[in-house]
Amino acid sequence: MDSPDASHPARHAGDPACADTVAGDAAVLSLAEARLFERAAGGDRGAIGEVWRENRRWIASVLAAHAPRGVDVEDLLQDVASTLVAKCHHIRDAASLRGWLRVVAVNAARMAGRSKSAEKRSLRVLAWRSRPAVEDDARNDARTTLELIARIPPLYAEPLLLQSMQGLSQRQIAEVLDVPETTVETRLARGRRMLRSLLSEAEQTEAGRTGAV
Amino acid sequence: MNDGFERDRAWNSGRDPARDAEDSDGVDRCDATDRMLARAVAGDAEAIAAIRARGASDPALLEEFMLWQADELRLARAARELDMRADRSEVPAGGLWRSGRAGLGWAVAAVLAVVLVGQAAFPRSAPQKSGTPSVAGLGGFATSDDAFDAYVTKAREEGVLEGEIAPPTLLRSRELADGRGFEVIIVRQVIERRVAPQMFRVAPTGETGRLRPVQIRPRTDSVQ
Repeated sequence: MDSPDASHPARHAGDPACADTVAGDAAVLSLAEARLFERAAGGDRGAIGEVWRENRRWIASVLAAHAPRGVDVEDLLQDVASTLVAKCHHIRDAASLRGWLRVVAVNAARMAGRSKSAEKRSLRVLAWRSRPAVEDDARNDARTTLELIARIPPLYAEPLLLQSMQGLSQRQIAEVLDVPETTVETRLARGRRMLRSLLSEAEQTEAGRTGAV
Repeated sequence: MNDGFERDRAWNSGRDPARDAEDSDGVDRCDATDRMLARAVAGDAEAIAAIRARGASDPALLEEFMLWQADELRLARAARELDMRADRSEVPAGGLWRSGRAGLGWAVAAVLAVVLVGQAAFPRSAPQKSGTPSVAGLGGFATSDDAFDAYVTKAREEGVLEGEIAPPTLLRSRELADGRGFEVIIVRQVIERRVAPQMFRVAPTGETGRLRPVQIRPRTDSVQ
């Protein structure tokens, strides 16, 4: 996993978390970051690729939280990457880039949800189902978890994924979502409770299926 | 609670039904125990201590905490899976390419009617008479841009050139150290019309269904 401090969406020059580091280091880091954004905004393909690699993991979490069931996160990631290439020159402020990327990701997920292209979805589902059945239990378990997360409303799934998968603190999540920290705390608790209920339900179903065989 | 999970319905209605439960009256209905458990699994030492203290008289709370920790481990495994998927994604190579249609690319690849046009089948406008490239005909041009413009003009006259894709695709750029500006690496693409005597498509053949190029027959013999 990328270093959360280097890649999470809450990190920018104004992030109080950065003030905890040595002042000189923080200045160098923010300057390097600002230069990278500047190069990316200027159309430098290498810089755009670097910006993408630094951000794609938390963007995947946002997409997983907002994407409706049956939509492949990888397709949506490509949507967001394409938008970054096509429109990053419109970003004037380095600090706003991550907020912009989150909006792009959420919109991509919503557009996919509204898409009426049933054929495309069925093709993807077909491709998904036809994957070789040699994957280990851990990966199947991970996929099951992601599928269950897709059943949790995005309002709760997004902070849960940003905390558990990207290592963001409640304060950082509050910054990303632009809501009070207490709201994040409540949403995290609700999200975890929902996940527990879904997992419990799935375990009972599995136990019933195994017992019936 | 399951009503809150009807996420697809929420997409259709354009709002999240669970949002109302939280925000409409401003009252925090979330169970305080759940918030404590959530903080504890995230590593909050105070919350963990509180659960330990309460757990002495409430074993069910400890059991619940254990289950939430197991869920956290599942989330960590899912994170690795999601990270792997994220790491496979790169920004598109070409500026004009909209990878948002990645699914279409997959579907297109699945279609067997991929038409192959043999590069050798394209007759050059002016075949070289010897194996050595000749630049004799380019002697009248001061620059390569002049030569390219002359090509465009001539090709249009011959009906070979349909147009140029504009603007050119920027591959990379760098600032020049001597202050002259920027070096840009671009792709200029032209759309040409050519006559191909032969075309092939890939199709499954034989009992094994192996993919082989199959020649496409023109409908008439009068194809120009």
